[in-house]
Amino acid sequence: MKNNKKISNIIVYLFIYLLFAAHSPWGQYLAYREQHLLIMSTREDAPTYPYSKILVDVINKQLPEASSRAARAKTFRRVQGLFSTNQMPLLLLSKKNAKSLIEGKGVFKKYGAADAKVIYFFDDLVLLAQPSFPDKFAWLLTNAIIKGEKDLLGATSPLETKKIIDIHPGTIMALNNEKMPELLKTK
Amino acid sequence: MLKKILYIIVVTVFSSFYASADTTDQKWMKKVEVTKSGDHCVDDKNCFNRYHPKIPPVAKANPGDMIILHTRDALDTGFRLDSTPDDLATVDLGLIHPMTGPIHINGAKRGDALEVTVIDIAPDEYGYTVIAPGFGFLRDVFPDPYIVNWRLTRIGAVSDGMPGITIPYEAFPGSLGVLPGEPEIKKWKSREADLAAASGVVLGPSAGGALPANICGEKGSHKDDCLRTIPPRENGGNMDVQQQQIGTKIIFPCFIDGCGLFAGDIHYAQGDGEVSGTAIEMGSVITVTVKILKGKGTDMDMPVTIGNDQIIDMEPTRYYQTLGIPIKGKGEIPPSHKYLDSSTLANLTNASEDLTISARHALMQMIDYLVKEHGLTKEQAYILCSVAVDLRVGQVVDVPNFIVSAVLNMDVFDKYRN
Repeated sequence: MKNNKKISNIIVYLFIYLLFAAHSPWGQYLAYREQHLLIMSTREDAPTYPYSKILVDVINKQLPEASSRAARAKTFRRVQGLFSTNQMPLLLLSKKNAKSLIEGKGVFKKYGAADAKVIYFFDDLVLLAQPSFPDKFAWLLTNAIIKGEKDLLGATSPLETKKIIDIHPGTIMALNNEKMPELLKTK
Repeated sequence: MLKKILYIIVVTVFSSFYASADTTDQKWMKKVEVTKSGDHCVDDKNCFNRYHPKIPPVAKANPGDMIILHTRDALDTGFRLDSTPDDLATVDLGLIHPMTGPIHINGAKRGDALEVTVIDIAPDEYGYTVIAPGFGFLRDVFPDPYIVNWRLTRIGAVSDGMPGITIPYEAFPGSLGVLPGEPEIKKWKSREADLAAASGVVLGPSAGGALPANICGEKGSHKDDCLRTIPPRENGGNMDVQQQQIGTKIIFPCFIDGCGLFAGDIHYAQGDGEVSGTAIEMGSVITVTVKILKGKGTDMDMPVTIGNDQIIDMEPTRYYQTLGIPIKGKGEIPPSHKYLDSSTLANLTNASEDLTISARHALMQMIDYLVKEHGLTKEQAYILCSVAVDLRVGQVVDVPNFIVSAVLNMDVFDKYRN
């Protein structure tokens, strides 16, 4: 209940953003991306899209205010462009491709590196967040995943997995049962 | 031996007959063809997505040449027949609109006019229509993404997402134009900045995804002066006027020597209004010819279109028409009027002499009709209006209620055609 109130505040912030963003042809498109917790996947990493839909269902069940949706990019190039420019701050990739993104190697060699933090693992898949993704949102998201873990095949806490990518600080706080951080601490 | 000679004679006679009957080897056209390479505009040296006079020509053509341009879809997306709204969420807005060109027209100077005749448009096999969040005429009513994927032939466009409907082939260039000159860049930037300062809906120069990158991109030489392609201006561009059909001539004022002709964003079909924000969008091969009208550009405010019976061919043989007057809900301010910040308008239920609110009224009634009488979802109805419903001004004199009507070509329903 307390969380719901705080989430309402987040939505108010998003509407304020919308008001400022609304006066360009694309302002509300950007606001749409802010209003919904979009989980990006790509056609080129085939398992990511079907799993993103399962993840979205679980998040919406545990955290309906997130209004989460799946968002499928055509190519790794589009993934890199949207993630690195923070247009889409959440991304589901297979572990190998996630590592390639951070290092700017493999399938991302042509498009460049993009820093990312881990939210959660799902067998060979990893949910990544932009480093600037607020701690509070990461905390809420991690909490929703923990609560819905039974519906998420292969869900594994990043604390219980061999470290291949840095964990998001908000996720660490959630996994350590620390209280939810304040919102305005953006990096 | 005699048989052999007879055989040779017969073969020789018949082969010469076939050769003379074949027309394929007869050529008269001088062609200048600009092709595509790579998946997206960024991969293609013949593609750009911002306007600036420094963008170098990719080809030169003479008046009378067949100028053949291979074009990309408006959003430079890579959508396909199985695309879903989830794909629409990942569109990169910085890439809109990819244009093919520019073409330097030999002999054309600033101050001339360029008459462009649309000779042919060959459609791709696939097209799409979308509702993009925050874009389109009813963006407050339809906030979520939606996509209809079309299979295209020159007979019609059909879609699993729009069963029982066939949209007739009425292709035209959504964007066709010439590059602005330095004075135009300065003037247009200034007036758009003034409007933006008054909270108008304006998208100023933005370097993200801009092409060519060396001129308009993040580190480009003129990144602050490269204009976005969204609004049509005096140079044409994104006019989205469906009457510019194959066979019509569109005349543009030239702002730079060589004019800098370009085309892109070709539409398979579109209603007057393009209300959802997109027509049936597709890649294509468009062929045009040009003629230089010496000194005629200085007298022009905007491009003009000259046609013959094309406008008649597009008319429906049966139609359903809704009528809109400028009425609205109390407290309601349509998105188009928000920048006016008017409490006067908010409190009224009847606006004065307002075609935008009349159009909205007519369109909402048409959507209701399509939902109630033809079983479409609201999103399907909005998409159908975007590709096959024409918003038309009825009158602008009967104060305060100017009328805009919405005209649906009933022939789009398979049940009404043979």
